[in-house]
Amino acid sequence: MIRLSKHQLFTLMFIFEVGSTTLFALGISAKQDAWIVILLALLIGLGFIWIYTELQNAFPDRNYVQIILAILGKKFGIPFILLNVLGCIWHCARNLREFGELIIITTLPETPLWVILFVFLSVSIYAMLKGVETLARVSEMVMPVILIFIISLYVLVYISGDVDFKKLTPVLGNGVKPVLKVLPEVVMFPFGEMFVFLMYWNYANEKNVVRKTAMKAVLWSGILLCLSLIIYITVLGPKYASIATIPLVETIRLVNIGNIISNIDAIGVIIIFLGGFFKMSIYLNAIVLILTTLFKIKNYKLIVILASIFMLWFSIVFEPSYAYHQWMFPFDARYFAIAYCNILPLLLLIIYWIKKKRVQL
Amino acid sequence: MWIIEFLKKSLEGRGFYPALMVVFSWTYTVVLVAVIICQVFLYIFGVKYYNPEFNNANEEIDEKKKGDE
Repeated sequence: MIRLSKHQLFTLMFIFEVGSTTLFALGISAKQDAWIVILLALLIGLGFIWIYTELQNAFPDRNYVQIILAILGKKFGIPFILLNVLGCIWHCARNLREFGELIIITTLPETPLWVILFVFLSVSIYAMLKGVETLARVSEMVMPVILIFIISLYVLVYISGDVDFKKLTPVLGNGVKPVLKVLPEVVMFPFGEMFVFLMYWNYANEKNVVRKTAMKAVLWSGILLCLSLIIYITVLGPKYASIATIPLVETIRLVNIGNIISNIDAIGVIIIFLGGFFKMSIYLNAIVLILTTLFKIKNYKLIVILASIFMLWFSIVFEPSYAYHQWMFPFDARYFAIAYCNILPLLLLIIYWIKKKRVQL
Repeated sequence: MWIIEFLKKSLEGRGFYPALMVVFSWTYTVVLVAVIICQVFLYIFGVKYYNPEFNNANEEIDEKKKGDE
């Protein structure tokens, strides 16, 4: 029986949220107001966490697939579940690919992509074969490392004198419109992606603290994200932050304290790599859990291996280059991910409420 | 039709998978909105819904509330 403590859930959710967000300057199309976008998206994201946990509280011992089937039945439920599988495959493949590309860009330019992805996936398969609890225990060890690295990096950036807070002004200089325009995609990525934890919350030891734990994880990760954006903007400026391939690495490269502490971009790569590993593993495990629950497959390990082989192939063929990958980001969030991450869980909850009222008639 | 034109313009160069996701997710959203409208009508006309899973869910919540108290 898999059981996760509230601390394990917190660390898993926190790392998942921070995950690949370190790769992008989120909401940077709002220029120097990007940090306001993050704060607004965080508030709306917390609302969506309430929606997801409300669904979980309605059926505390069931995962998302079982909840969907209980509320919608098989006819309407199965297409919804398949949509979620396709969504998780898309996000998992994008995560896997972006970390493969990251390693090529920063450290191993001559190594073929498939070799990096194979090694990356092998570690993930090993963790998943040991079980979700093992992944959660590792996350407990990794979270402080990520947190200490990120905060110390920002302190070093500040000490090296590259931070210029004037770059944050004028606040809302172009009005509220650019902020509102970019808001939906930041609500979906990273806050809306928390829907995937509907596959994990049923493993919680204490079911009554799931909402509180999720809210805490999202709140702290949102604050960290906002801090990261303030650092990117104040160091690189809004223009360069928007075109930089990996803003975190570009920012860290500027650290130079008395010509002694410099060239520490490897630490940034470690942060991104660790976050990406957890995010990708959580998505991959969710795909396996959805398939095993839907088709009532008992051989979990076989599905883990088959899904991983598929992901290795899919993550290589589904995108031609990293430029295409970056071009796809606001598109996927705006045009389809927002539907199954944000809108459909809300509609599902409304249907549950109405049906519950009809039961009580 | 303007929808076809809009889809053609926005999906140009994106590939098969994202196009499939766009069509699938929004079609399903429309279907679910239709389901909600039907459910609202059923509720207004007082059609009782029977599902033992919902009763169990309610019992689980009640037990949890009692436990918390």
